[in-house]
Amino acid sequence: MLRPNKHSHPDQTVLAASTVLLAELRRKRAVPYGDLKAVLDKASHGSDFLFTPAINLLYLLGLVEYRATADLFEYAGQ
Amino acid sequence: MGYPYEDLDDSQFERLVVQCMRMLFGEGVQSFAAGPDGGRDARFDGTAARFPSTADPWTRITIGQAKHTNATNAHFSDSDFSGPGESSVLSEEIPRIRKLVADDELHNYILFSNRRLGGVTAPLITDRLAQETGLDRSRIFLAGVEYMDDTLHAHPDILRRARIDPIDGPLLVSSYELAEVILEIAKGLEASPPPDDAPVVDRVTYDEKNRVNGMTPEFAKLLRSRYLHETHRIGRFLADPANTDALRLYEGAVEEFQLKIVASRREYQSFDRLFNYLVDFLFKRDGALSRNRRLTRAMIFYMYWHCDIGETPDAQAQ
Repeated sequence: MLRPNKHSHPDQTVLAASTVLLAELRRKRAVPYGDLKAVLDKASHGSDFLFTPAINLLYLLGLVEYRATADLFEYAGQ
Repeated sequence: MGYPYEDLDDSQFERLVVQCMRMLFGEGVQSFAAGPDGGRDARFDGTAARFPSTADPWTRITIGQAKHTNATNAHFSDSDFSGPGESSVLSEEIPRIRKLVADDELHNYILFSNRRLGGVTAPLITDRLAQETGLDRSRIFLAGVEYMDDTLHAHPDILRRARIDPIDGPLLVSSYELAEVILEIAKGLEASPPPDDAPVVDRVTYDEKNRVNGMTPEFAKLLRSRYLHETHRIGRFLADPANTDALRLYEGAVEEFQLKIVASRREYQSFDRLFNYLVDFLFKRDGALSRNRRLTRAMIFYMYWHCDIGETPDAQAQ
């Protein structure tokens, strides 16, 4: 899923979706769940299927934290 | 689980029918060489050993006919088989039966086919045969897959006598157990990480690919002009992350096609014939595909265009 293959559209991959999310997070530092999802909806076709894997990737890279009480994502990078 | 008759070829099915008839009528059932058979695949002259019953067996000349199809889930009621149209199998068979009856060469008729026979269809077809050939209804018998399965279960020796070798034919054991194993394996694989995606291959020109695969320029041009615009739509569909499951199915189909193509490549002088063979085979085997002929051809072309099937110069270099 992470590695694009010959069938992948470059804009419809987990890496591309992660980039969009990361840019938004770095700009605003904390973004509510719905708003972050809306950003990806606007940027990429198939966002319903890419959002969760993209967030997972950013979390694994230590770049995002989810604050359940406020239902928002917070940028955790430098 | 029924026997996979659809995986036999016509001659294997005929041999099976002849052996079934020998079991029912007696060793004197005569089989005929392949070729125009004048409406008969097997002939028996005498009193049947046990058909339709030992108490009242058929007497005099019995003609057996085998009608095989590669289609799965075919029925006697299919219009191309028993429809009133001139081109249906039954319509073409009736004049031959009538001629044999007129020549006093047929007194009983038994028709075997690997099609399902429903309780409503059977009397309708029997009535039609009786009316149009002059045979008595009680002297006509239709044997569908249900009847053949029962006969094979009762007399498993028929398969050995028909010389249907598991090496060049389907599995002789019931495929049910194998299917169970495969389903279990599939479940296990789902739990583990998904397999690697299809490898990326170097791009080659269409002309170069055609040259390596032996596709004629005329055929290649026709395919390109008719189906190239469809490849974009198919590509977009497969690239959509929502269609990951469809992509996995596509990759599975590609793998199977590619293995079959490699195995039978030498039998076909050009890729044109192989392409047509693949498409015809798919139409015959699957009703859904035969209803979407254009899309099926487009899909096979996409596989070829996308270098998923057929040789690529890159692969050849390795």
